[in-house]
Order: sequence, then structure tokens, then C-alpha cells
Amino acid sequence: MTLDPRGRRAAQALLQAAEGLGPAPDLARLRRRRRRRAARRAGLAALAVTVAAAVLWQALAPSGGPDGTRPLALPGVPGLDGHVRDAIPTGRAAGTDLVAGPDAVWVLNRSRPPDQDQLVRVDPATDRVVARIPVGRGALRVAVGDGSVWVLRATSGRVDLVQVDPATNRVVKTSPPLGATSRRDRGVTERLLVAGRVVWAVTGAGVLRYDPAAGAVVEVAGPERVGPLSGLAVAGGSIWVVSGMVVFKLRPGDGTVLQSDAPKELTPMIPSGLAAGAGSLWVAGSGRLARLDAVTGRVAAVFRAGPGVATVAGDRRNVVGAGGKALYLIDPAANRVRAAVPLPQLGAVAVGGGAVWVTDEPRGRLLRVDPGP
Amino acid sequence: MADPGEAAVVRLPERFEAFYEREYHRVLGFAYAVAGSWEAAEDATQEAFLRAHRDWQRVGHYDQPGAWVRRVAANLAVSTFRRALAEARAVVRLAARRQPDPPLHAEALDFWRAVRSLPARQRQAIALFYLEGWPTAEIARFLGCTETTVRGHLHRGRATLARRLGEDRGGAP
Repeated sequence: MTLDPRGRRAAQALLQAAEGLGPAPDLARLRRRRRRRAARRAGLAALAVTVAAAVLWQALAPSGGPDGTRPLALPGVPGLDGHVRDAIPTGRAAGTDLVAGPDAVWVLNRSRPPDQDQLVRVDPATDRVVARIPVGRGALRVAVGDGSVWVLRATSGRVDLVQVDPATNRVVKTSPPLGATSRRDRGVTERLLVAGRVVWAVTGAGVLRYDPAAGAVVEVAGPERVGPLSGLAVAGGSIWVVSGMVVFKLRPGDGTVLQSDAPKELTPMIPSGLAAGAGSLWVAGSGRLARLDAVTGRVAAVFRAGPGVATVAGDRRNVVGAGGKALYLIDPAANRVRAAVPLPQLGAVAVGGGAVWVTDEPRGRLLRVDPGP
Repeated sequence: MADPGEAAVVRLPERFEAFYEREYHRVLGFAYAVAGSWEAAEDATQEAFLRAHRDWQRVGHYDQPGAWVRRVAANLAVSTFRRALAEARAVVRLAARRQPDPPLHAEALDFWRAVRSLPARQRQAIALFYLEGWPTAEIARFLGCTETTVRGHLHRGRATLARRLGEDRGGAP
């Protein structure tokens, strides 16, 4: 007797047994049952919260101030470093990208087929997911600017952009193909940013400039690719790109290379990240951060940030390095690490809306980290 | 969204009700195969179809909405917490239960018990292979891996099953 006939008999028997449980239940009845269960669960949750609040009150009240009261500090997330203020369920993903602004944090969740990739909008005021927008497949990067959210996709070696209107949380347009990307590069070199009314993308094909108003894609002649393209940022009124050890400064109007320099101070680093923050340009790599003048590109400082630091993110006030399984909060006034925040997993990192945001892909959540004073 | 310059092929989703009627028992069988409990399997299957119904505008456009529902049902069915909850509910409403678990003859019971003893990915690959008769390419899409990996799962899974059940392995893959 062989395994296959037995397997087929067992499969047949199982399907018959499933049918023996009766016809597929009425959908309306299922929905009613689910609503009842949800209501019961909500009741139990409310009860649990009340009990927990009472216990907490009991625990805090005896050690209160002279008048017997004390303000309740915002609790952190149990089991995580105290800087982590909230964990927002955004959904498990095979990979993520992230961009943060004052009104919204956008998490790009890459899914495994057959599911579509999803753009998840989080309200930083309430830390709640307010929209989930399907954006097709092959999504790699997200950027915001000029009143739109942009998603860079690479499917079958071709790159395009999806434009999302944040007012309606809907996809409004797909760009013409921007060029090709190789399988080797896919998901590694791609970068995206919006500067003024122009969308800039780094792909395996090089640096591309897309003007949505004209619908025109222009491949920027420079910078020549002298090594892995590892960053794209806008600072000091210019576009900055890092390729290998060379830092390129481009004119935003037409992408002309204004300056290319391989600062000797970057020699101990293999650059892997680039960002604008606290009025400067920051290069990350090999556990170090380098601070560059946003106008001249001159290196002002290089310092050790933390083991494995390979990514950097920032906004007007804050700069963070990330690598290994930790986030490093930087003091831009002193060019040193102010605090290290250990995390269970490090996905994409962004700064904005008064917080540092990190995706925890295996657990499908977005962590809100307090950047401190 | 079709790319400019490409002929857009629009696949209209079938009616959810037709999809539900056709797939319900097959998904239920698959959920039982991976979970080993009819209560957990029914609960997970119904929840998976409710989710598919809620998002049918999206799910209905997938190439294989059936694969999506199976994946959701399998994930829900093997969730320990959810399984415990489903079984606890079953105990509560035992008296009012419309009928006992459907009988499965000893040979089938042994077979599916042996399948459930396999690692998760092998278990799902084997269940889809025998229950649905899916080709390796389709199983690969379901598991999100390559066909070579699926062939490895099937080869190792069937070797283990044959050893545990005292059977010859038979044909490919």
C-alpha cells in the first residue's frame, strides 16, 4: 500500500466529514453572532480596565504628594524601554517603510502575495490607525510632499509611483514607468523624497526626477554611480545623494551636479544612510554618524553612535541613528548620543509629529518613541 | 491600477455568495487538517469568510480569493488562544449542539493526526497537496516561497508520513 492513495482517501473522508456538519451557515446569522461576541468582549475589556485603574490608583495614592494626589505619568509600553510610549497595531508585514509628518504617520506595509501592499495612516494625535489604503504590489518606499503621499513600486523590474490624496485617503494616479531596477537592487537601493513640486527617486537605474504636473520623468545624468547608492535627502535648498563614499549635491531645478566630494573624514565609514535633521545633513554607516554642513557639505563632526548604526533619520529638531536592535537619540547641540533605546526589532525609522517612529515588522506594530527634551 | 500603455485586463469578482457556497466545506476541511479540532476549524472558517465578505471589494479581485481565505482560516485555526476560546464556547453550548462531530474513519484520523505532527509549513503543503490537489506552483504562491522549497516540504513531509504510518511513499513529487 502506498502513501498517496491513503492520503487521497483521507482527504475524501475529511471533505465528506466537513459536509456532514451541515450546509454553510447563513451569513447574516454569523454576523449577528459576531456582533454579540464583540459586545461581550467589549464589556469584559471595560471591566478589566476599570479593575486595573482601581488597582493602579490604590498603588499610587499612598505615595502621593502632600495633598494626597499626584499626576499620573503617561505609562510606557510594558516590557519595552521607558522611551517607548505606545505600540500601535498596524498589521504584520514582510517589510515596511515609514514617513512621519505633523498630521499623519504613513506606514507602508509590504505583503506577501496574493495580498496587496498597504499604506496605513496613523494619526499622531491619537496614535490610532485611521485609514488603510491598498497600493498594489511591489511597494518599496513612501514619501510625502506637495499635498500628496507617494509610493514607489518596483514590479517585474519596472519602477513607478502611486500618488495618494491624503484628503480622501485614495489612490489618485499612477505615474508612467520611471525606469528599470534590477532584482539584485530591489528593496535595497530605492529611496524616495519630495522636494518642492518634484518627486526624486533613487533606483537601481540611478537618480530619477519626476515632475507630476508635467507627467515627465527625467533621468538625472549625474551623479555617476561610484558605489552603492545609499541615500537621498533634501537640505539647505539642495538635493543630496550618497554613492559609495562620494557625497553629491544636486540643483533641485534640473538635477545638475553642483558638487561632488569624497570627504576624508568619512573614510572610517561605509555610508549606508543619509538624512536631514536639526539643520544639518547626516550620514550613517559602520556604527558612526557624520554631520555635514547642509549648504557646503563640509564635515563638521564624526562620532561613534552605537554598534551597527546604519540608518539615520531626523526632522527640524531631532536626529536619531538606528542599527542592530537599538535606536540612538542624538543630542545635535553636542554631537553625541543622548540615550540608547533597546528595541525587540528594528524596521523602518522616521522622525516627525513630535516623536520618533519605528516599525516592528514581526509583531505588526508601530512604536512611538519619546525623543526627550 | 493599470500602467499606461498596457492593455488593462479587468477581472470581475464573482458574487460572494457563490464563492462562499462553493468554498465553505473545502476551507473547513483544510482548517481541520491543520488544527485538528472541528470547533476551532468552524470558528476560524466562519471568521475568515466574514472577513472576506467585509473586504470582498478587495479580496474578490485577487487571482485566488480562495487561497486568501484558506490562509486566514489556517492562521486563525492554529492560534492557541482562539482555539481554546472556541473549545470553551463549545463546552458551554454542548447541550444545544445540533450534532456531534462528524465521524472520520480510523485510517483518515491516523493520517491527519500524522499530518498535524509535521512542522507547520510541511503540514500546510501536505494538506493542500492531498485535499486540494494543488500543483506545487500554487502551493508556493500560498506559502510565499519558491516551488523548490515546496517540493522540499512535500518530499520531507511525505517521507515522515510514510515512516510514521508504515507506508511506501509512492510517486512524485
